[in-house]
Amino acid sequence: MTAAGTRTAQPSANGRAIAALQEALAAEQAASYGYGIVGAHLQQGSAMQGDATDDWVAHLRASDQLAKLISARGGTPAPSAIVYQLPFQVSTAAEAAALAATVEDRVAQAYLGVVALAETGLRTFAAEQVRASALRAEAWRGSTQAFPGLPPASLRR
Amino acid sequence: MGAAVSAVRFEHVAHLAQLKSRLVQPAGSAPSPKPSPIVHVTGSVAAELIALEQAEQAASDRLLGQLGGLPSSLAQLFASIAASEATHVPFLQAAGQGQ
Repeated sequence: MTAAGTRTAQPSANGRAIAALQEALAAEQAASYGYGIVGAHLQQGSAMQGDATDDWVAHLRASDQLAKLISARGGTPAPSAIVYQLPFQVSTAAEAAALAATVEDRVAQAYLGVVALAETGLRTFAAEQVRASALRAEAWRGSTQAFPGLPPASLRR
Repeated sequence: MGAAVSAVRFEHVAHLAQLKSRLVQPAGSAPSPKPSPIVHVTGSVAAELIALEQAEQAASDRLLGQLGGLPSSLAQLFASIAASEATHVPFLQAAGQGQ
């Protein structure tokens, strides 16, 4: 309820679930695009390029899973964009690895939106995806983070 | 390897601080003065590392198993900490291999 008797329509639990899943899908689609850029800047046939391919495939599969979850709830999975704005310019292998880690951070953050839902099955699925993203980020970055996916502003001081 | 273990320990301290900040203490209760040790290892450095890795993985799995029924923000914190703990496993493995 808001002031002067106005009432704001609250989305249903299903609507909130679809919205959170769409956010995760958008992050996965951006990640798939990002790994295309990553792979293009790694040495052809190198172990790192192989890792990038594996991670790209993981994101494609996760996108498929999310699309199914959205459809099962009566939603329409949003299509991916044709092109995405990169967070920074990539022209070296080191920058490509940094992009991969950044992409994974964003995916983890998007899945935490799904973890916030009350439905236990979705929550567990999303938490496992947060963990998978954090593991991939660690592999690309070579270091760990205390709170993968959580913005610093959300932490209590 | 000491730097890697210190980095991991630092993150656990941060995890504890966030969890404690959300802890509601019942009136009259006091926090336990000493944490219960989980890992008892008196072997080689390699054995200690393996025990640490196993403890990290177990802690991560345990947190993921406790998500049901939690308030949203606490579930997000648990999921994030579980992810962090899982990353400690390959991180410690890499540090051990670099010995």
